[in-house]
Amino acid sequence: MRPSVIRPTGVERTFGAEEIIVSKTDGKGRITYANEVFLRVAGYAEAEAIGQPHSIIRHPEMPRVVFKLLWETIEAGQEIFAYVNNLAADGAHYWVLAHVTPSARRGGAAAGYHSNRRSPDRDAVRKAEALYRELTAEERRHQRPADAMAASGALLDAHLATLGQTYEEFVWSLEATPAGVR
Amino acid sequence: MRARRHAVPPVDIAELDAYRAAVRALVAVLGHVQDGDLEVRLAPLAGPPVLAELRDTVNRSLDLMDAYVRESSAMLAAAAEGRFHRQFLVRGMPGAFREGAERSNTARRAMQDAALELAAQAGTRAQMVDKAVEISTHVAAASTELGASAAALAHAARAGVSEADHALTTVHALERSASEIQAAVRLIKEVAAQTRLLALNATIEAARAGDAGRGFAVVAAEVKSLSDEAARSSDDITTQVEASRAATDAAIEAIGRVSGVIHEMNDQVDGIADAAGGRQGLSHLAEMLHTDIGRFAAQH
Repeated sequence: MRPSVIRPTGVERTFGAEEIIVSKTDGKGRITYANEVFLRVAGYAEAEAIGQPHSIIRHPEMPRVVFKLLWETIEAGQEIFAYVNNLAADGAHYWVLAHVTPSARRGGAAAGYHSNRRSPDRDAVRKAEALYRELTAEERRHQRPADAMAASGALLDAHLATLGQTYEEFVWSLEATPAGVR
Repeated sequence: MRARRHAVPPVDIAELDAYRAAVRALVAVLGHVQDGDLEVRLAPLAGPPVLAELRDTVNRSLDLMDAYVRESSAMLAAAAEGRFHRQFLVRGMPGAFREGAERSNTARRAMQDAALELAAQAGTRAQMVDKAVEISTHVAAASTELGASAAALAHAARAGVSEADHALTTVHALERSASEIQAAVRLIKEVAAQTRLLALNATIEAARAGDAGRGFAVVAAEVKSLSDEAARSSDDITTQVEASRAATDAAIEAIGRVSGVIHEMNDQVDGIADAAGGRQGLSHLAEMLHTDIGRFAAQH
């Protein structure tokens, strides 16, 4: 049995630049498919991962407001690109550039969600990490989750306003950093 | 020995069942895929390790197709909305998938360039429209002013013509009085000549009367002297009247020329006033142009 709460070890794990971590979930976010890269990097056996909520790989240092933005976007039927720090079963963490898309709708709600995750640029990770650290710190200053979310949401909006970007543009501005400039 | 070399190895029934199950599962999955359903994946296959490899290979291929379709459609939709920063992430896309992805990115860049070019043109157009609005405002104002000035000028020119005509009449009157003066002078001159003759006769008669006519002779000499003076004065007057007539003639000619010029100017000013004002006049056209450009600017 896995411990119910995984303690982060601070060990970072990376994966190949040409590898894609793939997973599919149902409409409620439960994992229905995970490719072999997912299982290897996250450190789960297939049987352990299938049926679990996708939040099993959620890292405690990740700001909740990023997931809020992610869910709001995909529930509106839109795609989203986001930098996410994930937690592996053994407590290691791995940064990804996630591309999450709703799967074709069957009836009213989306049939499920699909996530392709690429290995992110190191400089992009540093920039995302700096922003996320501030957002998480802000969230921890509040007792009530709703207050925490509102405060970090305002902070994120302010940060993006300073940059003159949307979150999507922020993500792509990091991705677009030319190789020679890193 | 021969028989043993060619002997069929014993069939592992369990393994055969595993392969059969794998083929059935694969057929089922490919049945979905051929209908365009890329959500389906091959579930774990029990049996020899090659079946696990088969499953991974099939699922990896489906993952690639799935990713390609999601990426290309989303990128194109983003580009259509002008979100050109949304690229096709080519990382992890091998072979034909990568080529397709790179070609899509090239097309996206071309769309972006075209959009930027279009935006630049629209910017230039907007600037030109603003400039046109500004200029048409000035033109309309200037045309209205021009119309007003032309009307004032036409009025002044007409007044000028009337003044010149009036001056001509005055000068003609002056010429007539000069002629009258000449006639009067001629009469004075005749009277003076006759007076002189009478004075001469009186002098002769006085001489004949001797001492008795001496005093009369003095008077006759005085009369002669006066008539001579009158004749000289009338000559002076004649000379002056002639000079005055020459000056009057020159004035008539000059005023005539001025009057002609003002008449001609008056025609031209009327032409300008007509062109500037009126229903089809410049200021009306400029106002129409200004209104049209303003409407265009508001719509674009």
